Order: sequence, then structure tokens, then C-alpha cells
Amino acid sequence: MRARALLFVALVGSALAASCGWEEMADYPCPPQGTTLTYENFGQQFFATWCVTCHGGPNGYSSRSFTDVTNIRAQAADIFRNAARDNTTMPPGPNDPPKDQRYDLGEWLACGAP
Amino acid sequence: MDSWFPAKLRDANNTHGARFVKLNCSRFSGISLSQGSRASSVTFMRIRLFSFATLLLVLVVLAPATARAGEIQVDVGTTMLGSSWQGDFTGGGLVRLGYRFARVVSIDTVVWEQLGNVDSRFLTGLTIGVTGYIPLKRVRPSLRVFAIHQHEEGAVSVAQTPGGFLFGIGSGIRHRGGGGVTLGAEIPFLHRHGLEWVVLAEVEGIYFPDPLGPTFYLGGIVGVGFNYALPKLP
Repeated sequence: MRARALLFVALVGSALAASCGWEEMADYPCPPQGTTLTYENFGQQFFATWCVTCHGGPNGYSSRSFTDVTNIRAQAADIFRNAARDNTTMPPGPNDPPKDQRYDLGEWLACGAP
Repeated sequence: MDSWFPAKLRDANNTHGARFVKLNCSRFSGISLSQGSRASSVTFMRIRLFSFATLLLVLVVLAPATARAGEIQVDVGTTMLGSSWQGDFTGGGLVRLGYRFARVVSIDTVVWEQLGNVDSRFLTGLTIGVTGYIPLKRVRPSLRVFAIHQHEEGAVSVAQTPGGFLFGIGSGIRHRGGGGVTLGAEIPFLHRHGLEWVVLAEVEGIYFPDPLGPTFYLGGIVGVGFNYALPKLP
């Protein structure tokens, strides 16, 4: 029984290690020249397209609401970890945002989601 | 007859929506009872109640003594499923605990932990179901119907709340509810120390009505386990 428990822990651990390659917002600071991306010209449309179906949409599947920029700023690091640059945990499923939009999201969040 | 009912109840609304039809009116209800027939009807009801109570008593008191003993079922296995998401496959391990009555029907629960390749997500499933067996000697075909609660979350969420995935605690967990069917067979291969060891081979389909993940999962399970026959029903 103990061997089985150890095996389970080892399997979960190795699976985690194999899939734990996400990027952190702290590693990708805002460019020195700043960003041209704003909530109005990028963020609002991005979140409306890819996120609010669950995060703040009429279905209310998630308690995290991304329908206003204040909430997004407060959870910027988490959003980055799940959806920005090469992080593809969110949105769920194989239909993902284009890679350039994920990179734009990373830059916009890193610059404070202006 | 009318004096049996309070005035406000006398003119009740019947289930067909026709108001003011007297439920106790012999012309409409067809339950026309004289004083004598009412007494015999009450007696008849009493006899029926007594018979029902006696039957219940017989079932409760005598059935455990005459029924075949039940079995505790413990199985472990591995499962691989494909989902309705394009290019999505999941794999992992499961544990099944059940109690089988008379070798034919069992109430059971299966818990699994799987890893899916799309979104690098973990799937923690808890199912409760009923399994019916055809109690043949060499191979016992089975059909299981179950309800499922499954957590699906990315590895990021798991890493942020280590251990939380088992209990649905974490920042990115999607809680899903659905149902499924498992068609399989139990093959006994060893009897030792009161345990009947079995191999399991099953095909499983799961359906989730929500959009939080794949709608369907379909795949197979192979496993090994044992049945422990209790000397008498607990």
C-alpha cells in the first residue's frame, strides 16, 4: 500500500514536472518605451472574445469576473500565468487565441493594463 | 358525506383545473359510499395496510438471513480516454470501491486522477454508480451507470495549490457534473485467502452538459482487483 502511494506521488510529481513550464509576469517586464496597447484598443476586445463567456458572462461559470479593467489589473499575474505569451492553460480547449494576441496580452498586463 | 370536510375544503380545485367540483361529490367522483360500504372500505384499507406492513416486516427481518452474502469490491486500474476536443487524450489511474449484492448488482464509487494533453490539465473524477453483472462462471459482463463530478484544472492551478486538486480547492478549477456508462467484463483468475482476484476490461463513455471542457469522453479501462465475500450481510 505504501509502495502504491509512493508510486502515485511519483507519477503526479513527474506529470507536474513535465507540464510546469509556464512563464511568470515578473520575467517579462514592460518595455522601456512602454506600450501602445490599452484597454480600449486591445484588452476589452480580447477579454470579451476569449474570457467573459465564463469569467463574468451571463453563464457565471467562474467567480472571477474580467468584465472591467480594475478586476483584470488586480489579477494580472494570474491571468499572465494562465493565458499570456506561451502560457496556454486558458481559455480551455484547443480553440485558442492567436499567438501574437497572447504576446500582446503579456505586454499589456506587464505594463499595468493601461 | 359533506360533513366530513371543512367548508373551505369542500369546493376544492381538482387536478384538471375545473374549479368548484366537489371532490367528495358522489355524482362526479364515482366514489359513492353508503355508511355500510364506507365501513367495509375502511376495513379493506386496514387489511391492505396490514398486509403491506407484514410484507415489509418479512423483508426486513427474514431477507438478510436467507439472502446470499454480499461482496466488497476493490479494484485499481488505468484508464485512457479520448475527448470531443480535437487532439485531446487523457490518461491516469483509478480506484474503485463497491459493494455487490448477490453477485448481480453493486453500488460503487470510482475515483480517478488523469492528465490531459490539451491545456496540460489535471482531471480528478469522482463517480457514484450502480453496476449490473451477469454472474457467469468465467467472465461476468457488466454494465455500469454513474453520475460524475469532475475537477479539471491546469497544471498552474495545481502547482499553486498543491494537494488541493483532490478536494476541488484551487484558483483555476472547473467543476463539472455529468453522467456516464461503462460496459465491461470481470474475469476471475485466482481464489486465495478468501479473496477472488479479478481482471477488469471496460469501455467507458462520459457526457458533460456544460461548456467548461470536452462534452464527451470515450475510452477504455483495464484493471485488477479482488472481491471479498462477507459471511453475512452487514
